[in-house]
Amino acid sequence: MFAPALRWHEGPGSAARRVGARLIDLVPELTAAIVIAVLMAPTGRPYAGAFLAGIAALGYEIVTTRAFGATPGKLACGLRVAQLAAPGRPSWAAATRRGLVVAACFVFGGVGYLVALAVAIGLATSAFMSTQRRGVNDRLAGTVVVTRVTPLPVTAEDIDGWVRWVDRPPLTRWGRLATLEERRRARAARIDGAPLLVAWILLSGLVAIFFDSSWVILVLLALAWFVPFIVDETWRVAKRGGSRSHHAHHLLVVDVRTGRPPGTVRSLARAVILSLFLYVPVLIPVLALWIAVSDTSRGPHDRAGGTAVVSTEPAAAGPLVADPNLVPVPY
Amino acid sequence: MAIPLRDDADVQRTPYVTYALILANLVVFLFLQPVAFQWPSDSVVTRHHQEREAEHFVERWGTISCEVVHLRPLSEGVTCGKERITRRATSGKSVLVSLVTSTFVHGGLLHLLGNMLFLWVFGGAVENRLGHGGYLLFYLAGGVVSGVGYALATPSQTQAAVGASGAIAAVMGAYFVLRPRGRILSAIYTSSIQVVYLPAFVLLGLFFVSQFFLPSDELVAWEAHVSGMVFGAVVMAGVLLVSRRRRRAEPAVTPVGSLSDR
Repeated sequence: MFAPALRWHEGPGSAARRVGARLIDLVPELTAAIVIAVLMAPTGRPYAGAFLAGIAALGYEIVTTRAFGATPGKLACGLRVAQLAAPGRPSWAAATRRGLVVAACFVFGGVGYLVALAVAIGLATSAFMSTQRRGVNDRLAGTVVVTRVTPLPVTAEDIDGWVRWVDRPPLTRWGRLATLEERRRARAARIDGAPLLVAWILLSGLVAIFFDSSWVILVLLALAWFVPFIVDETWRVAKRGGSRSHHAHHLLVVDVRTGRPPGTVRSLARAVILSLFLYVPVLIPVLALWIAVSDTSRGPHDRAGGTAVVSTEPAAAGPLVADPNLVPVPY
Repeated sequence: MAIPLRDDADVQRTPYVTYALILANLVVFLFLQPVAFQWPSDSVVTRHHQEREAEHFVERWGTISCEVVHLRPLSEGVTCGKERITRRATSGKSVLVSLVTSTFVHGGLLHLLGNMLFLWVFGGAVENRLGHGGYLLFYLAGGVVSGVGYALATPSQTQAAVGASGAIAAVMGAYFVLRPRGRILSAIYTSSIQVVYLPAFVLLGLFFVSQFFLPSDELVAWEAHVSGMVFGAVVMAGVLLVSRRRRRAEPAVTPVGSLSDR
Protein backbone atom coordinates (compact mmCIF):
# COMPACT_ATOMS: atom_id res chain seq x y z
CA MET A 1 0.00 0.00 0.00
CA PHE A 2 1.69 3.17 -1.12
CA ALA A 3 0.80 6.18 1.00
CA PRO A 4 1.43 9.57 -0.57
CA ALA A 5 4.21 11.13 1.35
CA LEU A 6 4.67 14.85 0.85
CA ARG A 7 1.97 17.45 0.48
CA TRP A 8 2.23 20.25 -1.99
CA HIS A 9 3.48 22.78 0.54
CA GLU A 10 6.04 20.38 1.99
CA GLY A 11 9.24 19.04 0.51
CA PRO A 12 12.28 20.91 -0.80
CA GLY A 13 12.10 24.67 -0.42
CA SER A 14 11.52 26.89 -3.41
CA ALA A 15 14.34 28.66 -5.20
CA ALA A 16 13.38 32.03 -3.74
CA ARG A 17 13.54 30.71 -0.18
CA ARG A 18 16.90 29.06 -0.73
CA VAL A 19 18.47 32.17 -2.24
CA GLY A 20 17.02 34.35 0.52
CA ALA A 21 18.34 32.02 3.20
CA ARG A 22 21.80 31.98 1.65
CA LEU A 23 21.88 35.79 1.40
CA ILE A 24 20.86 36.17 5.04
CA ASP A 25 23.52 33.66 6.09
CA LEU A 26 26.15 35.50 4.09
CA VAL A 27 25.90 38.54 6.36
CA PRO A 28 27.55 37.04 9.46
CA GLU A 29 29.85 34.82 7.40
CA LEU A 30 31.12 37.70 5.27
CA THR A 31 31.50 39.94 8.30
CA ALA A 32 33.62 37.33 10.01
CA ALA A 33 35.71 36.86 6.87
CA ILE A 34 36.36 40.59 6.55
CA VAL A 35 37.24 40.95 10.23
CA ILE A 36 39.63 38.02 9.94
CA ALA A 37 41.18 39.48 6.80
CA VAL A 38 41.76 42.80 8.53
CA LEU A 39 43.24 41.16 11.62
CA MET A 40 45.48 38.84 9.60
CA ALA A 41 46.70 41.51 7.17
CA PRO A 42 49.79 42.57 9.18
CA THR A 43 50.98 38.96 9.51
CA GLY A 44 51.45 38.62 5.78
CA ARG A 45 49.88 35.16 5.68
CA PRO A 46 47.02 35.37 3.18
CA TYR A 47 46.46 31.61 2.98
CA ALA A 48 46.21 31.41 6.75
CA GLY A 49 43.63 34.19 6.69
CA ALA A 50 41.56 32.41 4.05
CA PHE A 51 41.81 29.19 6.07
CA LEU A 52 40.54 30.93 9.21
CA ALA A 53 37.67 32.52 7.28
CA GLY A 54 36.72 29.06 6.07
CA ILE A 55 36.90 27.69 9.62
CA ALA A 56 34.64 30.51 10.83
CA ALA A 57 32.05 29.78 8.12
CA LEU A 58 32.34 26.04 8.86
CA GLY A 59 31.79 26.58 12.57
CA TYR A 60 28.79 28.81 11.93
CA GLU A 61 27.16 26.25 9.63
CA ILE A 62 27.88 23.22 11.82
CA VAL A 63 26.88 24.71 15.16
CA THR A 64 23.64 26.28 13.96
CA THR A 65 22.62 23.24 11.92
CA ARG A 66 23.21 20.93 14.88
CA ALA A 67 21.59 23.23 17.42
CA PHE A 68 18.49 24.33 15.53
CA GLY A 69 18.34 21.97 12.57
CA ALA A 70 18.97 24.94 10.26
CA THR A 71 21.10 28.04 9.97
CA PRO A 72 19.48 31.35 11.00
CA GLY A 73 19.01 32.33 7.36
CA LYS A 74 17.13 29.12 6.64
CA LEU A 75 15.04 29.49 9.79
CA ALA A 76 14.07 32.99 8.76
CA CYS A 77 12.87 31.68 5.38
CA GLY A 78 10.96 28.78 6.86
CA LEU A 79 13.38 26.03 5.91
CA ARG A 80 15.21 23.31 7.75
CA VAL A 81 17.89 20.79 6.95
CA ALA A 82 16.66 17.20 7.12
CA GLN A 83 18.79 14.11 7.00
CA LEU A 84 17.41 11.56 4.55
CA ALA A 85 15.52 8.72 6.25
CA ALA A 86 16.27 10.06 9.73
CA PRO A 87 14.11 12.17 12.03
CA GLY A 88 15.36 15.11 14.01
CA ARG A 89 18.40 17.24 13.34
CA PRO A 90 21.24 16.22 11.02
CA SER A 91 24.13 14.29 12.55
CA TRP A 92 27.52 15.84 13.26
CA ALA A 93 28.99 14.08 10.26
CA ALA A 94 26.27 15.35 7.92
CA ALA A 95 26.45 18.89 9.29
CA THR A 96 30.24 18.88 8.89
CA ARG A 97 30.08 17.64 5.31
CA ARG A 98 27.48 20.27 4.43
CA GLY A 99 29.55 22.99 6.04
CA LEU A 100 32.78 21.91 4.36
CA VAL A 101 31.47 22.86 0.93
CA VAL A 102 30.52 26.35 2.11
CA ALA A 103 33.88 26.66 3.89
CA ALA A 104 35.68 25.65 0.69
CA CYS A 105 33.90 28.46 -1.18
CA PHE A 106 35.13 30.91 1.45
CA VAL A 107 38.68 29.59 1.34
CA PHE A 108 38.96 29.80 -2.41
CA GLY A 109 36.97 32.98 -2.65
CA GLY A 110 38.86 34.63 0.16
CA VAL A 111 42.19 34.55 -1.58
CA GLY A 112 41.88 38.00 -3.10
CA TYR A 113 38.50 37.62 -4.76
CA LEU A 114 34.97 38.58 -3.86
CA VAL A 115 33.96 36.08 -1.24
CA ALA A 116 30.25 36.65 -1.79
CA LEU A 117 30.56 35.96 -5.49
CA ALA A 118 32.36 32.68 -4.91
CA VAL A 119 29.87 31.43 -2.35
CA ALA A 120 26.81 32.53 -4.27
CA ILE A 121 27.94 31.05 -7.56
CA GLY A 122 29.17 27.83 -6.03
CA LEU A 123 26.07 27.09 -4.06
CA ALA A 124 23.54 28.54 -6.50
CA THR A 125 24.70 26.45 -9.43
CA SER A 126 24.91 23.35 -7.31
CA ALA A 127 21.57 23.71 -5.49
CA PHE A 128 19.66 24.49 -8.69
CA MET A 129 21.11 21.73 -10.80
CA SER A 130 18.19 19.51 -9.91
CA THR A 131 14.57 19.86 -8.88
CA GLN A 132 15.47 18.25 -5.58
CA ARG A 133 17.30 21.48 -4.77
CA ARG A 134 20.15 19.44 -3.37
CA GLY A 135 23.53 20.97 -3.94
CA VAL A 136 26.94 19.40 -3.75
CA ASN A 137 26.90 19.92 0.01
CA ASP A 138 23.58 18.11 0.39
CA ARG A 139 24.65 15.18 -1.73
CA LEU A 140 27.85 14.75 0.24
CA ALA A 141 26.00 14.85 3.53
CA GLY A 142 22.89 12.90 2.57
CA THR A 143 20.60 15.77 3.57
CA VAL A 144 17.87 17.79 1.91
CA VAL A 145 16.59 21.27 2.72
CA VAL A 146 12.83 21.17 3.25
CA THR A 147 10.18 23.57 4.49
CA ARG A 148 9.68 23.70 8.24
CA VAL A 149 6.23 22.16 8.12
CA THR A 150 7.48 18.96 6.51
CA PRO A 151 7.10 16.02 8.86
CA LEU A 152 10.32 14.08 9.37
CA PRO A 153 11.74 11.60 8.49
CA VAL A 154 11.94 12.29 4.78
CA THR A 155 13.22 9.44 2.64
CA ALA A 156 14.83 9.47 -0.78
CA GLU A 157 11.67 7.90 -2.22
CA ASP A 158 9.58 10.77 -0.86
CA ILE A 159 11.89 13.22 -2.59
CA ASP A 160 11.77 11.26 -5.83
CA GLY A 161 7.98 11.24 -5.71
CA TRP A 162 7.94 14.97 -4.99
CA VAL A 163 10.26 15.58 -7.93
CA ARG A 164 8.00 13.63 -10.27
CA TRP A 165 5.03 15.65 -8.98
CA VAL A 166 6.75 19.00 -9.47
CA ASP A 167 8.59 18.23 -12.67
CA ARG A 168 5.58 16.43 -14.06
CA PRO A 169 7.58 15.17 -16.98
CA PRO A 170 5.15 14.91 -19.85
CA LEU A 171 3.45 11.67 -20.62
CA THR A 172 4.09 11.13 -24.30
CA ARG A 173 2.80 8.39 -26.54
CA TRP A 174 6.13 6.62 -26.09
CA GLY A 175 6.01 6.79 -22.33
CA ARG A 176 6.78 9.18 -19.51
CA LEU A 177 9.81 11.35 -20.23
CA ALA A 178 12.75 10.81 -17.91
CA THR A 179 13.69 13.49 -15.36
CA LEU A 180 17.12 15.05 -15.20
CA GLU A 181 17.83 13.17 -11.99
CA GLU A 182 17.10 9.79 -13.55
CA ARG A 183 19.22 10.61 -16.59
CA ARG A 184 22.06 11.90 -14.43
CA ARG A 185 22.07 8.71 -12.37
CA ALA A 186 22.07 6.50 -15.45
CA ARG A 187 24.89 8.47 -17.06
CA ALA A 188 26.99 8.45 -13.88
CA ALA A 189 26.60 4.69 -13.61
CA ARG A 190 27.51 4.27 -17.25
CA ILE A 191 31.12 3.49 -16.64
CA ASP A 192 30.51 1.15 -13.70
CA GLY A 193 31.17 -2.42 -14.67
CA ALA A 194 32.98 -1.43 -17.85
CA PRO A 195 36.52 -2.54 -17.01
CA LEU A 196 37.76 -2.33 -20.58
CA LEU A 197 36.72 1.30 -20.86
CA VAL A 198 38.33 2.08 -17.51
CA ALA A 199 41.54 0.31 -18.53
CA TRP A 200 41.57 2.28 -21.77
CA ILE A 201 41.20 5.59 -19.93
CA LEU A 202 43.97 4.58 -17.54
CA LEU A 203 46.24 3.72 -20.40
CA SER A 204 45.60 7.14 -21.89
CA GLY A 205 46.46 8.68 -18.56
CA LEU A 206 49.76 6.84 -18.49
CA VAL A 207 50.57 8.00 -21.98
CA ALA A 208 49.86 11.55 -20.87
CA ILE A 209 52.37 11.23 -18.04
CA PHE A 210 55.19 9.50 -19.75
CA PHE A 211 55.16 11.29 -23.05
CA ASP A 212 55.76 14.96 -23.45
CA SER A 213 52.43 16.72 -23.81
CA SER A 214 53.05 18.07 -27.26
CA TRP A 215 50.18 18.95 -29.59
CA VAL A 216 50.35 15.62 -31.36
CA ILE A 217 50.08 13.60 -28.16
CA LEU A 218 47.16 15.68 -26.90
CA VAL A 219 45.24 15.26 -30.14
CA LEU A 220 45.95 11.52 -30.19
CA LEU A 221 44.79 11.19 -26.58
CA ALA A 222 41.61 13.11 -27.36
CA LEU A 223 40.94 10.81 -30.30
CA ALA A 224 41.63 7.83 -28.04
CA TRP A 225 38.73 8.96 -25.87
CA PHE A 226 36.33 10.17 -28.53
CA VAL A 227 36.50 7.25 -30.91
CA PRO A 228 35.75 4.40 -28.45
CA PHE A 229 33.09 6.48 -26.69
CA ILE A 230 31.29 7.46 -29.88
CA VAL A 231 31.49 3.97 -31.34
CA ASP A 232 30.30 2.32 -28.13
CA GLU A 233 27.53 4.82 -27.47
CA THR A 234 26.27 4.72 -31.05
CA TRP A 235 26.21 0.94 -31.12
CA ARG A 236 24.43 0.60 -27.77
CA VAL A 237 21.81 3.26 -28.43
CA ALA A 238 21.08 2.15 -32.00
CA LYS A 239 20.91 -1.53 -31.17
CA ARG A 240 19.26 -1.56 -27.76
CA GLY A 241 18.07 1.96 -27.07
CA GLY A 242 20.57 2.68 -24.35
CA SER A 243 23.49 1.34 -22.37
CA ARG A 244 23.22 -1.22 -19.61
CA SER A 245 22.92 1.48 -16.99
CA HIS A 246 20.08 3.12 -18.93
CA HIS A 247 18.17 -0.15 -18.80
CA ALA A 248 19.09 -0.69 -15.17
CA HIS A 249 17.49 2.68 -14.40
CA HIS A 250 14.43 1.87 -16.51
CA LEU A 251 15.35 4.37 -19.21
CA LEU A 252 15.04 3.98 -22.94
CA VAL A 253 16.34 6.20 -25.72
CA VAL A 254 13.71 6.48 -28.42
CA ASP A 255 13.37 8.17 -31.79
CA VAL A 256 10.68 10.82 -31.32
CA ARG A 257 9.05 9.85 -34.62
CA THR A 258 8.75 6.12 -34.08
CA GLY A 259 9.13 5.41 -30.38
CA ARG A 260 11.74 2.73 -31.15
CA PRO A 261 15.54 2.93 -30.73
CA PRO A 262 16.95 5.50 -33.18
CA GLY A 263 18.80 4.43 -36.30
CA THR A 264 22.56 4.39 -36.64
CA VAL A 265 22.87 7.84 -38.19
CA ARG A 266 20.79 9.51 -35.51
CA SER A 267 22.61 7.63 -32.76
CA LEU A 268 25.91 8.72 -34.24
CA ALA A 269 24.90 12.38 -34.31
CA ARG A 270 23.65 12.08 -30.75
CA ALA A 271 26.84 10.38 -29.58
CA VAL A 272 29.10 12.95 -31.24
CA ILE A 273 27.39 15.92 -29.60
CA LEU A 274 27.20 14.12 -26.26
CA SER A 275 30.89 13.24 -26.34
CA LEU A 276 31.80 16.89 -26.86
CA PHE A 277 29.80 17.95 -23.81
CA LEU A 278 31.13 15.15 -21.61
CA TYR A 279 34.73 15.65 -22.62
CA VAL A 280 35.09 19.27 -21.59
CA PRO A 281 34.40 19.33 -17.84
CA VAL A 282 33.08 22.92 -17.97
CA LEU A 283 30.36 21.86 -20.38
CA ILE A 284 28.90 19.19 -18.11
CA PRO A 285 26.89 21.69 -16.01
CA VAL A 286 25.78 23.30 -19.28
CA LEU A 287 24.47 19.93 -20.43
CA ALA A 288 22.63 19.42 -17.15
CA LEU A 289 21.08 22.89 -17.22
CA TRP A 290 20.04 22.43 -20.86
CA ILE A 291 18.13 19.28 -19.94
CA ALA A 292 16.72 20.91 -16.81
CA VAL A 293 15.23 23.93 -18.59
CA SER A 294 13.96 21.90 -21.52
CA ASP A 295 10.28 21.13 -21.12
CA THR A 296 10.82 17.76 -22.78
CA SER A 297 14.00 16.90 -20.84
CA ARG A 298 16.03 16.84 -24.03
CA GLY A 299 19.61 18.00 -24.22
CA PRO A 300 21.62 19.19 -27.22
CA HIS A 301 22.54 15.62 -28.07
CA ASP A 302 18.86 14.64 -28.07
CA ARG A 303 18.07 17.53 -30.41
CA ALA A 304 20.92 16.52 -32.70
CA GLY A 305 19.67 12.97 -32.93
CA GLY A 306 15.96 13.64 -32.78
CA THR A 307 15.66 11.41 -29.74
CA ALA A 308 14.14 11.57 -26.29
CA VAL A 309 14.66 9.50 -23.17
CA VAL A 310 11.59 7.89 -21.66
CA SER A 311 11.14 5.98 -18.45
CA THR A 312 9.84 2.44 -18.67
CA GLU A 313 9.12 2.33 -14.96
CA PRO A 314 5.53 1.49 -14.06
CA ALA A 315 3.83 4.72 -13.03
CA ALA A 316 4.11 5.56 -9.34
CA ALA A 317 0.85 4.96 -7.51
CA GLY A 318 -1.26 8.07 -7.57
CA PRO A 319 -0.48 11.75 -7.29
CA LEU A 320 0.42 13.35 -4.01
CA VAL A 321 -2.46 14.44 -1.81
CA ALA A 322 -3.24 18.02 -2.78
CA ASP A 323 -5.13 20.63 -0.84
CA PRO A 324 -8.71 19.29 -0.79
CA ASN A 325 -9.93 22.72 -1.87
CA LEU A 326 -8.01 22.38 -5.12
CA VAL A 327 -8.88 20.02 -7.91
CA PRO A 328 -6.07 17.50 -8.24
CA VAL A 329 -4.34 17.77 -11.60
CA PRO A 330 -4.65 14.48 -13.45
CA TYR A 331 -1.34 12.87 -14.21
CA MET B 1 48.23 11.34 -13.59
CA ALA B 2 45.51 9.72 -11.51
CA ILE B 3 44.26 11.70 -8.53
CA PRO B 4 42.23 9.77 -5.96
CA LEU B 5 39.08 11.50 -4.79
CA ARG B 6 37.30 9.07 -2.50
CA ASP B 7 37.24 5.41 -1.63
CA ASP B 8 34.28 3.17 -0.97
CA ALA B 9 35.32 1.74 2.40
CA ASP B 10 32.63 1.32 5.00
CA VAL B 11 34.33 2.54 8.15
CA GLN B 12 32.79 2.06 11.57
CA ARG B 13 35.09 4.46 13.40
CA THR B 14 35.31 8.10 12.38
CA PRO B 15 38.99 8.61 11.43
CA TYR B 16 39.72 11.29 14.01
CA VAL B 17 43.49 10.80 13.90
CA THR B 18 43.52 11.23 10.11
CA TYR B 19 41.58 14.46 10.45
CA ALA B 20 43.84 15.60 13.29
CA LEU B 21 46.94 14.88 11.21
CA ILE B 22 45.53 16.83 8.28
CA LEU B 23 44.73 19.72 10.60
CA ALA B 24 48.20 19.58 12.16
CA ASN B 25 49.88 19.69 8.76
CA LEU B 26 47.68 22.62 7.70
CA VAL B 27 48.38 24.55 10.90
CA VAL B 28 52.14 24.00 10.65
CA PHE B 29 52.23 25.17 7.04
CA LEU B 30 49.90 28.15 7.46
CA PHE B 31 50.98 29.46 10.85
CA LEU B 32 54.36 28.04 11.85
CA GLN B 33 56.35 27.92 8.64
CA PRO B 34 57.95 31.15 7.41
CA VAL B 35 55.82 33.50 5.36
CA ALA B 36 57.84 32.87 2.23
CA PHE B 37 56.06 29.57 1.73
CA GLN B 38 52.75 31.39 1.35
CA TRP B 39 53.29 34.62 -0.44
CA PRO B 40 56.67 36.06 -1.35
CA SER B 41 56.75 39.78 -0.86
CA ASP B 42 56.93 42.00 -3.95
CA SER B 43 60.04 43.83 -2.91
CA VAL B 44 63.24 42.19 -4.19
CA VAL B 45 65.21 42.77 -1.01
CA THR B 46 62.49 41.35 1.26
CA ARG B 47 62.03 38.34 -0.99
CA HIS B 48 65.69 37.43 -0.75
CA HIS B 49 65.57 37.68 3.02
CA GLN B 50 62.40 35.61 3.19
CA GLU B 51 63.80 32.94 0.92
CA ARG B 52 66.85 32.59 3.11
CA GLU B 53 64.61 32.34 6.15
CA ALA B 54 62.68 29.58 4.40
CA GLU B 55 65.89 27.71 3.51
CA HIS B 56 67.13 27.87 7.08
CA PHE B 57 63.78 26.64 8.37
CA VAL B 58 63.83 23.66 6.07
CA GLU B 59 67.42 22.81 6.98
CA ARG B 60 66.57 23.06 10.67
CA TRP B 61 63.47 20.88 10.63
CA GLY B 62 63.86 18.72 7.52
CA THR B 63 65.65 15.44 6.93
CA ILE B 64 69.16 15.76 5.54
CA SER B 65 70.47 12.37 4.41
CA CYS B 66 74.09 13.09 5.27
CA GLU B 67 73.10 13.96 8.81
CA VAL B 68 71.03 10.81 9.25
CA VAL B 69 73.81 8.60 7.97
CA HIS B 70 76.37 10.14 10.31
CA LEU B 71 73.90 10.96 13.11
CA ARG B 72 75.41 14.42 13.46
CA PRO B 73 73.94 17.80 12.46
CA LEU B 74 75.73 19.54 9.62
CA SER B 75 76.66 22.47 11.86
CA GLU B 76 79.42 20.32 13.36
CA GLY B 77 81.09 19.81 10.01
CA VAL B 78 80.37 16.49 8.30
CA THR B 79 82.04 14.87 5.33
CA CYS B 80 79.32 14.21 2.80
CA GLY B 81 80.53 12.43 -0.26
CA LYS B 82 83.74 14.20 -1.17
CA GLU B 83 83.60 17.50 0.70
CA ARG B 84 83.21 18.59 4.27
CA ILE B 85 79.98 20.55 4.81
CA THR B 86 79.15 22.94 7.61
CA ARG B 87 75.74 24.59 7.85
CA ARG B 88 75.19 26.97 10.69
CA ALA B 89 71.41 26.82 10.27
CA THR B 90 71.38 23.31 11.67
CA SER B 91 73.12 24.08 14.96
CA GLY B 92 71.31 22.64 17.96
CA LYS B 93 69.37 20.26 15.75
CA SER B 94 68.52 16.77 16.87
CA VAL B 95 68.80 14.51 13.86
CA LEU B 96 66.38 11.89 15.17
CA VAL B 97 63.74 14.49 16.01
CA SER B 98 64.13 15.97 12.53
CA LEU B 99 63.01 12.64 11.07
CA VAL B 100 59.64 13.23 12.72
CA THR B 101 59.33 16.99 12.26
CA SER B 102 60.10 16.75 8.54
CA THR B 103 56.86 14.80 8.20
CA PHE B 104 54.89 17.91 9.13
CA VAL B 105 56.78 20.48 7.06
CA HIS B 106 55.90 21.09 3.42
CA GLY B 107 57.62 22.98 0.67
CA GLY B 108 54.58 24.61 -0.92
CA LEU B 109 50.80 24.75 -0.93
CA LEU B 110 50.40 22.29 -3.78
CA HIS B 111 52.79 19.87 -2.07
CA LEU B 112 50.74 20.12 1.12
CA LEU B 113 47.32 19.84 -0.52
CA GLY B 114 48.33 16.91 -2.68
CA ASN B 115 49.65 15.01 0.31
CA MET B 116 46.60 15.81 2.42
CA LEU B 117 44.25 14.61 -0.31
CA PHE B 118 46.00 11.23 -0.46
CA LEU B 119 45.97 11.01 3.34
CA TRP B 120 42.28 11.79 3.48
CA VAL B 121 41.37 9.20 0.86
CA PHE B 122 43.50 6.32 2.12
CA GLY B 123 43.80 7.04 5.84
CA GLY B 124 40.23 6.24 6.83
CA ALA B 125 40.26 2.53 6.11
CA VAL B 126 43.73 2.02 7.56
CA GLU B 127 42.84 3.85 10.77
CA ASN B 128 39.65 1.81 11.01
CA ARG B 129 41.73 -1.38 11.00
CA LEU B 130 44.62 -0.30 13.20
CA GLY B 131 42.70 1.73 15.77
CA HIS B 132 43.37 5.36 16.57
CA GLY B 133 46.49 4.91 18.71
CA GLY B 134 48.04 2.21 16.56
CA TYR B 135 47.42 4.27 13.46
CA LEU B 136 49.13 7.32 14.92
CA LEU B 137 52.19 5.28 15.89
CA PHE B 138 52.16 3.64 12.47
CA TYR B 139 52.01 7.01 10.72
CA LEU B 140 54.92 8.48 12.68
CA ALA B 141 56.93 5.29 12.29
CA GLY B 142 56.25 5.41 8.56
CA GLY B 143 57.63 8.92 8.43
CA VAL B 144 60.78 7.88 10.28
CA VAL B 145 61.33 4.70 8.26
CA SER B 146 60.84 6.46 4.93
CA GLY B 147 63.27 9.17 6.02
CA VAL B 148 65.86 6.57 7.00
CA GLY B 149 65.28 4.70 3.75
CA TYR B 150 65.79 7.89 1.78
CA ALA B 151 68.96 8.68 3.74
CA LEU B 152 70.43 5.25 3.18
CA ALA B 153 69.70 5.48 -0.54
CA THR B 154 71.22 8.95 -0.93
CA PRO B 155 73.91 9.17 1.79
CA SER B 156 75.73 12.16 0.36
CA GLN B 157 72.63 14.32 -0.13
CA THR B 158 72.87 17.62 1.73
CA GLN B 159 69.60 19.15 0.58
CA ALA B 160 66.86 18.81 3.17
CA ALA B 161 63.81 16.70 2.39
CA VAL B 162 60.45 17.63 3.83
CA GLY B 163 56.93 16.42 3.47
CA ALA B 164 54.48 13.87 4.74
CA SER B 165 54.71 11.79 1.60
CA GLY B 166 56.85 9.13 3.26
CA ALA B 167 54.34 8.56 6.05
CA ILE B 168 51.46 8.75 3.58
CA ALA B 169 53.23 6.23 1.37
CA ALA B 170 53.22 3.91 4.39
CA VAL B 171 49.47 4.43 4.72
CA MET B 172 49.07 3.68 1.01
CA GLY B 173 51.16 0.54 1.32
CA ALA B 174 48.98 -0.61 4.20
CA TYR B 175 45.83 0.15 2.18
CA PHE B 176 47.22 -1.89 -0.72
CA VAL B 177 47.44 -4.96 1.53
CA LEU B 178 44.22 -4.25 3.43
CA ARG B 179 41.81 -3.53 0.55
CA PRO B 180 43.48 -4.30 -2.76
CA ARG B 181 40.15 -4.47 -4.57
CA GLY B 182 38.61 -1.41 -2.99
CA ARG B 183 37.19 1.00 -5.56
CA ILE B 184 38.81 4.41 -5.57
CA LEU B 185 37.08 7.19 -7.44
CA SER B 186 39.89 8.84 -9.36
CA ALA B 187 40.28 11.74 -11.73
CA ILE B 188 42.52 10.71 -14.60
CA TYR B 189 44.17 13.38 -16.63
CA THR B 190 44.42 12.45 -20.27
CA SER B 191 43.97 15.52 -22.43
CA SER B 192 40.83 16.23 -20.42
CA ILE B 193 39.73 14.93 -17.05
CA GLN B 194 37.87 11.65 -16.75
CA VAL B 195 36.47 10.52 -13.42
CA VAL B 196 36.33 6.73 -13.04
CA TYR B 197 36.44 4.06 -10.36
CA LEU B 198 39.79 2.31 -10.21
CA PRO B 199 40.62 -0.74 -8.10
CA ALA B 200 43.01 0.24 -5.33
CA PHE B 201 45.67 -2.23 -6.40
CA VAL B 202 45.80 -0.65 -9.85
CA LEU B 203 46.10 2.91 -8.56
CA LEU B 204 48.54 2.12 -5.79
CA GLY B 205 50.49 -0.39 -7.85
CA LEU B 206 50.92 2.16 -10.62
CA PHE B 207 52.00 4.76 -8.09
CA PHE B 208 54.63 2.40 -6.70
CA VAL B 209 55.97 1.39 -10.11
CA SER B 210 55.97 4.93 -11.42
CA GLN B 211 58.32 5.97 -8.62
CA PHE B 212 61.11 4.10 -10.35
CA PHE B 213 60.52 5.91 -13.62
CA LEU B 214 60.30 9.51 -12.49
CA PRO B 215 62.54 11.87 -14.46
CA SER B 216 65.65 12.41 -12.37
CA ASP B 217 65.59 16.18 -12.64
CA GLU B 218 62.46 16.34 -10.50
CA LEU B 219 63.07 17.11 -6.82
CA VAL B 220 60.98 14.21 -5.56
CA ALA B 221 62.32 11.91 -2.85
CA TRP B 222 61.03 8.81 -4.55
CA GLU B 223 63.22 6.59 -2.40
CA ALA B 224 61.18 7.76 0.58
CA HIS B 225 57.94 6.83 -1.18
CA VAL B 226 59.20 3.38 -2.04
CA SER B 227 60.59 2.59 1.40
CA GLY B 228 57.47 4.00 3.06
CA MET B 229 55.14 1.88 0.93
CA VAL B 230 57.13 -1.27 1.56
CA PHE B 231 57.12 -0.57 5.30
CA GLY B 232 53.37 0.03 5.33
CA ALA B 233 52.63 -3.10 3.32
CA VAL B 234 54.82 -5.25 5.58
CA VAL B 235 53.25 -3.88 8.77
CA MET B 236 49.69 -4.36 7.54
CA ALA B 237 50.49 -7.86 6.27
CA GLY B 238 51.86 -8.66 9.71
CA VAL B 239 48.79 -7.26 11.46
CA LEU B 240 46.44 -9.25 9.24
CA LEU B 241 48.44 -12.47 9.65
CA VAL B 242 48.55 -12.16 13.43
CA SER B 243 44.83 -11.47 13.67
CA ARG B 244 44.04 -14.39 11.37
CA ARG B 245 46.13 -16.72 13.49
CA ARG B 246 44.39 -15.48 16.61
CA ARG B 247 41.00 -16.11 15.10
CA ARG B 248 41.99 -19.64 14.15
CA ALA B 249 43.17 -20.33 17.69
CA GLU B 250 39.76 -19.48 19.13
CA PRO B 251 37.09 -22.20 19.14
CA ALA B 252 34.83 -21.94 16.16
CA VAL B 253 31.70 -23.09 17.94
CA THR B 254 30.65 -21.71 21.31
CA PRO B 255 29.59 -24.58 23.57
CA VAL B 256 25.94 -24.39 24.53
CA GLY B 257 25.32 -23.07 28.01
CA SER B 258 28.68 -21.42 28.49
CA LEU B 259 28.99 -17.73 29.24
CA SER B 260 30.88 -16.45 26.24
CA ASP B 261 31.24 -12.73 25.79
CA ARG B 262 31.40 -13.02 22.01
